[in-house]
Amino acid sequence: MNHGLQGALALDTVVLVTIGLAVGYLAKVRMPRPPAGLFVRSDIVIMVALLVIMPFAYLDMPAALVCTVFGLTVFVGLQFTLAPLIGGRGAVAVATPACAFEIVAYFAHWSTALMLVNDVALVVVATGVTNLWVQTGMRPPLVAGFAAALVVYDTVATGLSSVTSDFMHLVNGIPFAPMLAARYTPEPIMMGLGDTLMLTLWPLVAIKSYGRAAGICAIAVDVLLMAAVFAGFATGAITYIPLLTPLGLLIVAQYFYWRRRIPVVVPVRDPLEAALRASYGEDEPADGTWVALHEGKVVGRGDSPGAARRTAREAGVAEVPVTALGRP
Amino acid sequence: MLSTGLRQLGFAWSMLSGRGFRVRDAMALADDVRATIEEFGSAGDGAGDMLSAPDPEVQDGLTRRRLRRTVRNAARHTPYYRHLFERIGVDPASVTPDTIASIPPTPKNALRSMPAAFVSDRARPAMAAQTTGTTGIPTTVWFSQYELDITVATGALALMLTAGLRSEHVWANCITTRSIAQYLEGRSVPMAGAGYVPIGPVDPRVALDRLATPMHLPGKRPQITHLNATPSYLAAIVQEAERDGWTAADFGLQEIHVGGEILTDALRDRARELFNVPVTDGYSMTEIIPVAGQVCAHDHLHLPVDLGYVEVLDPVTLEPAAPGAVGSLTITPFLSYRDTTTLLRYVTGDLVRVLPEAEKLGCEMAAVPATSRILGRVTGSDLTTRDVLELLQAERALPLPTRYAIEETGDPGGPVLHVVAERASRTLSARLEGRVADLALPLSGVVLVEDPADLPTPCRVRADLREHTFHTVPAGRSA
Repeated sequence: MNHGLQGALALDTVVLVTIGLAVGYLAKVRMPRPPAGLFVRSDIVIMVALLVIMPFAYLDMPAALVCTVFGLTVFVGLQFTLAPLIGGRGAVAVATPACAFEIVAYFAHWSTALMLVNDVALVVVATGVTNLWVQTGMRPPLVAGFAAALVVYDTVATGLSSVTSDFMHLVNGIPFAPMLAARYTPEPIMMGLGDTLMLTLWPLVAIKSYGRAAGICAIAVDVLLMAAVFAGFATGAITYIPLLTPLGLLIVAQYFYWRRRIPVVVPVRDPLEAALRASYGEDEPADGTWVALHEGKVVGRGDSPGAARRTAREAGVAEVPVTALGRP
Repeated sequence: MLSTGLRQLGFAWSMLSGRGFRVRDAMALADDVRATIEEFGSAGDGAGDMLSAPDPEVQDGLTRRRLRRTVRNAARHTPYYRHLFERIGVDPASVTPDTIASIPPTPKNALRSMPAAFVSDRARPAMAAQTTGTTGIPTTVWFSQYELDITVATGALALMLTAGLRSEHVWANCITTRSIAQYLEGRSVPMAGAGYVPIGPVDPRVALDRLATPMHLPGKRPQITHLNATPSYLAAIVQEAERDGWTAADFGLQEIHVGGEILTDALRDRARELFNVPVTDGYSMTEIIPVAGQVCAHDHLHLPVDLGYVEVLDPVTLEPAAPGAVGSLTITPFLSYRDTTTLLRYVTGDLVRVLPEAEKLGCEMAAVPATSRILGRVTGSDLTTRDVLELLQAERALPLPTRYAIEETGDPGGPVLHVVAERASRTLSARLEGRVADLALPLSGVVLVEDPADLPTPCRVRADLREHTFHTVPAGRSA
């Protein structure tokens, strides 16, 4: 196996580790929530807008400014991901030297060390960001909508134009680059943070909304997709791929599958159903009399609904009965 | 979440700056809080801080700013205060909490006699609320659509974040449908996601029947969970329920909220005993909306400082009451909540005792300034409404709601207390006189009457604001 394939395999492994960490984090850690607010459609619209605009903006920014923006993002991401585990101060104590090291490594030309530390930081950030989204109520339809938008975006930006390619060259080898990397220039092997986030996000949302089976299925789909891409690289059929194009379509497909398989159940009001099925028989109440019904049987009578409810309680019925007026 | 964050920032900015709120944002924020609670079971971290006051130093600065804006606006745009400031020659811009005494307090009669003079020239009056006028003359207060909407939105936030109202709950209101509180709760309770049942002060037998009636609605508890009533109407319900043999198990109540009159310990205990739920005592009045107080577990009345400027003035001299002394609550609602009927230093006439300096607040609401509970009015020599009601409602042989009258006879021992009893007897009279002596109340005697018409002066309570319904409930089994 050549070095390129080893690098791709390493990246796939890192993504799987990220998914595993995110699933464990979801099970064990409760992130602080903002006072009010859920992840709603407008948030997705804002995110998509930023996603479309920012790469163009970055291409026109000085590299130092791009580094600063990503550095702040990584620092904040590390801090809020680690704070629930080791406390706010502990998180700062970890995030600060990690970020400082990336800067030092860049100026010292320790490219391998920079790459490794940045990869670890991005794994932690991806774990935190995806958990933040899921734990603030990001629901499957929103993820599916986001994924659908990303299909269009990635197809255009990566597949049909040079936006992603130019962006990769811009951030190649700089501190806090939003790319998981197995090798920098001259022949970079990298995977965008957006790809990592979406590969991680859907399994979490699937587990939370549809259960473990859906989560396992989502991870299996991720693995199969990464295997297919790896095979494409191995055979030379592809040299790059807009990963979000197939991934987005697969997420949308999974969403429709699970939505159909596990429909939203509107609870039935059993006491009312039982009362409507009831046949009073000899207990037929007189016109103007109220009856209390429990499990289809008359358990109380009265001149008013409250009185009928009370006689039911006096008769030993602990549950709240249904009251109905005697049929004329 | 991002748009909610912006709305929260905007709401916080309005709270801190004392400027007007963006109604649409406040409404949307209430919706966001409801959605958050429905999704997660509770609001997020620090949600309670949205409505709570910041630390005292920051609060002082905010109070100065809010008061200055309120006074300046009243002096410019409210006819009554424009004339007042011209007359007294005080520069409105110079008024601070330290110099507010330069503005003469506004008596109730001034508002009663000419309510339009208190309506700002810039206002857009939309709804008039009249007080119940238990003293004979109602007071009219006009509200703009902005005031109504912002009070509804902040009310919904308070119901969710402070009172713990959830979408599974069903809130029944037994206060008069003519009151502004009924209108506001009719909008803020559904905004909080809960069900709302406007029962009104109907025949207490009908109200009890409605409270006991199973509903089985989707997403709601099977019976009414929250009851809001005035203490006198609660007393009428308690009386009827005790007579008719109702028990807590007949209802699904979780909380009872009362306000608008004095809730005595005796009535609170009786209601708790009967319904087996906590009884929350609150204070507000139409004129001072949105300023509202709540009684804590230590029996203090806590009045938040971010809705209006609160003073306690000696009822005779109208100077600030000293610690430990009795005074009248005097309120200046802030401009950001009230832009139509504007009031400066409005003397409510509701007496409280300023807490002694040695008394430290150790309750769950200790961060909010407090006074004693409402004492009512002074009747006779130092005898308050609460003194009389505590005396009478502790006696279970007397009917509820309690009806009495104080008659000044010139007796040095104090006035005579006339009380309505179902059966006037020497035994009952002696028992009451014994309690008067035990409590050292300044009364020279107790006279029992069996007909309210025999009282020397009419005794009006809010439970008398009875509303009629065609819904009838047969007389109780033991009645």
